[in-house]
Amino acid sequence: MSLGDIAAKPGVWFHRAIVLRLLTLIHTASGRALRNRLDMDWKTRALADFSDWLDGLDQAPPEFLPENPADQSESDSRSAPQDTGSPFGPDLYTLLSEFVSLKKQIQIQTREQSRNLRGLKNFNAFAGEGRQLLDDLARQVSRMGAMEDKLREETTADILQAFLDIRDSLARGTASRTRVTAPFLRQKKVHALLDGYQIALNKFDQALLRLETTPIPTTGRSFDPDTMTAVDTCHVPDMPQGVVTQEISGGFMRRGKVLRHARVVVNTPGKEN
Amino acid sequence: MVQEPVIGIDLGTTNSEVAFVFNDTPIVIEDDDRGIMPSCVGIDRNGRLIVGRTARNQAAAFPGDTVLAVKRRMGTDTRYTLGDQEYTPQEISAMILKTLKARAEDAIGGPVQKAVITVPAYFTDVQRQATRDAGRIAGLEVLRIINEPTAAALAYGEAGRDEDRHILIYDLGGGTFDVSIVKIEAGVVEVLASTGDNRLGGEDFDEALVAYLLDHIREHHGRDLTDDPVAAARLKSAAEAAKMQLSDAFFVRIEEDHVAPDLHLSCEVSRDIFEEMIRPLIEKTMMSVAKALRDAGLSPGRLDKVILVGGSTRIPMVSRMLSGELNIEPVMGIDPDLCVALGAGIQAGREMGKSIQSMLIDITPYTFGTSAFGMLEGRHYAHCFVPLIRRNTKLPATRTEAFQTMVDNQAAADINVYQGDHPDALDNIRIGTYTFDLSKAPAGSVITLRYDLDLNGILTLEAREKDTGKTINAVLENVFSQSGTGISEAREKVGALFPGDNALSKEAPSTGEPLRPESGPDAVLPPAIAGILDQAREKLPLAPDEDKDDIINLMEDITEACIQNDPDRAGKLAEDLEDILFYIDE
Repeated sequence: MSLGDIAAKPGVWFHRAIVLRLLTLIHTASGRALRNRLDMDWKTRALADFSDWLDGLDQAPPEFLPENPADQSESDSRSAPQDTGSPFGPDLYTLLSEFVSLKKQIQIQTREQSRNLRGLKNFNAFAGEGRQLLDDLARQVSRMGAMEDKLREETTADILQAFLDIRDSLARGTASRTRVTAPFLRQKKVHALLDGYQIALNKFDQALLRLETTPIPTTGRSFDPDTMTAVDTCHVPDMPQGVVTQEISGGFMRRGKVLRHARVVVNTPGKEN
Repeated sequence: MVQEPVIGIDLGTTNSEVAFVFNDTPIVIEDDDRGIMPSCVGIDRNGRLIVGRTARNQAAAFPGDTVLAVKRRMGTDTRYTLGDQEYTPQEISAMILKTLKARAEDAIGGPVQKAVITVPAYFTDVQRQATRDAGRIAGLEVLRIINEPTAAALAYGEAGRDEDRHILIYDLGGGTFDVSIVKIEAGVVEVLASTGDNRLGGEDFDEALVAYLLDHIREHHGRDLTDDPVAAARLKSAAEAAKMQLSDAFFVRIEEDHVAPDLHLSCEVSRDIFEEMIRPLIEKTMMSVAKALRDAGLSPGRLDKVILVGGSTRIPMVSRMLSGELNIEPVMGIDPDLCVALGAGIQAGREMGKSIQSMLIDITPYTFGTSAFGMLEGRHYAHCFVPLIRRNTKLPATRTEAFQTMVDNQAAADINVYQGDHPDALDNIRIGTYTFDLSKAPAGSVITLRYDLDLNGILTLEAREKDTGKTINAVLENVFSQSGTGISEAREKVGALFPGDNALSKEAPSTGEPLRPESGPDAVLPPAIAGILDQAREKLPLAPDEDKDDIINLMEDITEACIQNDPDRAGKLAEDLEDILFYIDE
């Protein structure tokens, strides 16, 4: 190794260990300073904005701020004596208490909400059932109405049937006039009696008419299986076939329906009366 | 998917009916005729086809244009001429079926294409096939042909029972009589025997009564009206009405004015007289019953039930004679005219997959009667039981019996009301006693006693002196519960002696839920807490595992707090439970 080489080595070490590091430090320091300057610009702008906002406020302080900062300190120290002692520091105890209270409030509200929801659900279900019940009721009422009408019709028909038998008897009594063979002097009395029968029969028919019940005409008419029942036949040569020759019991119509079929004897060929 | 309707049809010899299941209940469809349509087809004077009542109306006047009782010709080569056309029995039956189908379509409000049809048990395969063909001609797919006795058993809910049963079906209609014995095993109905007389029925009873009235007129008025068709027609109507009344009343007065010129009829008929008239006919049916039992290889003791079908079974003598022969009280809870149709309707409902409600049958579970002097076990006895309304009778029911005074100027008669079936009235339960002060009259004076029993168990009785019309009335309430209470009390007593008896235990079966305490604290919980517990039970399966334990613990704590009568603690715990439940999604 030459003397020059020996002298060059400490130079390289100095260059690497001192100069380069120094340069690096200078560079780093200058970078931070630059960044600080940039940060300061942001803060400065923010402060300026805030200052502008404060300028825009009224001169009088808001009601919730004490006039004197000392009062604020006194008030805080009363509520939180063990706290930091700083007149403007956060009151953690109050904060915690209010959080606990808030949580309780939320729980109560949640529970109430839950109950209300459940109540609403139950009410909805109840309302649904109620609607169903009302629909059922309306149907039942309608059905009952129809049943009532039917029952009234059937009851009226039943009552009428009983009276129709009585009318048959009156009609037969009146018809017997043709067979009366009393002596001349008594005939007048008998006929007066039968006239009374006829008047009673007329009254009866008027009463039936008021109940929309009318007799079915039979004798001399064509046999109609819809309104008459044939109970026997006879042969009357001078009458057309299929014509009713005799009524055994009267038939009646009511409101377009057969209340009672007439029972009749029908003229047919071949069977002599 | 809308279920296609299936109807049930009773295609009878005299009458036919159609039934359908409305709201799970079989109903016979009516058309101003109680649902009973004559099985009759005809052509009227205008060449119009007429079926049912209208055709029946003209049968007497135009027999050549009217077909009656076609059922008797099913499966034969018979041809009927109506107008200028010939028809087979199947085609005539099809006209009846088509009319019933139309009636059902009107009631249901839509088309009907499927049916179940009943036939007599004795019908051969040919006759059954002819019935099936008739259905097809009428535009009906016959899903099933069932036997009439099977339909009757279905109507009485017999096919749904688990145990094996032997049932006798006694069917006495207007013009035919059938008796069948069926065996029901695991819901399958097998006809063991069937016999009868297809020329015997209610019309024979009417004729017997008409003959009696003609005799009466001959005897009392010296006139013979046998050949007077008008008189005969009026007497037949009167006889039919009297026959029906005699099922309830003991005496009926038949009164017809102007039966013939200058001749009025007024004749009293008692049930005894009527029953004597028809006794040979009823005895004939009893011979058929005995034959059916022989054919089935059964003794009467093997029968579990006797069902009455057909309108003529309303005559009390029928059930009395059957009861005497078979030692079993026949049932007639369902209208005997409609019983087979209702059974067909039930089968039709089954074909539709419907769950059919069993027919509501209102019958009396007990026999109600009185006591009178008579013969018991071959000797005179003062307390012979005389049943008036028998067990299994359909309600409301009215029955009248006649009794006679024993001595001249008898001062009074004791009227005892008994419930039971023992021939010795003293072995039955006496539920009322009344004294009837009598008018002075010779021995043998008639007193009628009438019982009216309604659905609410109210028994009204009326005793009447026939000659004077003097009456006494009484009302007994809750006659069904007189012995029913005794049974339930006895049951409680016996139950108390057997605490381990499962049948009498009141403990609820375990549901696997640990949360409902056995002592039933829910009963003492405030409704709000009970509601929260119910909600917890519902939500428990949905709760996350980490919450389940908390919920269960809270529920137990709440229950315990309630048992310890600590409502404050229970309320607080309930609030905690409610908070947890709020966050569980349903």
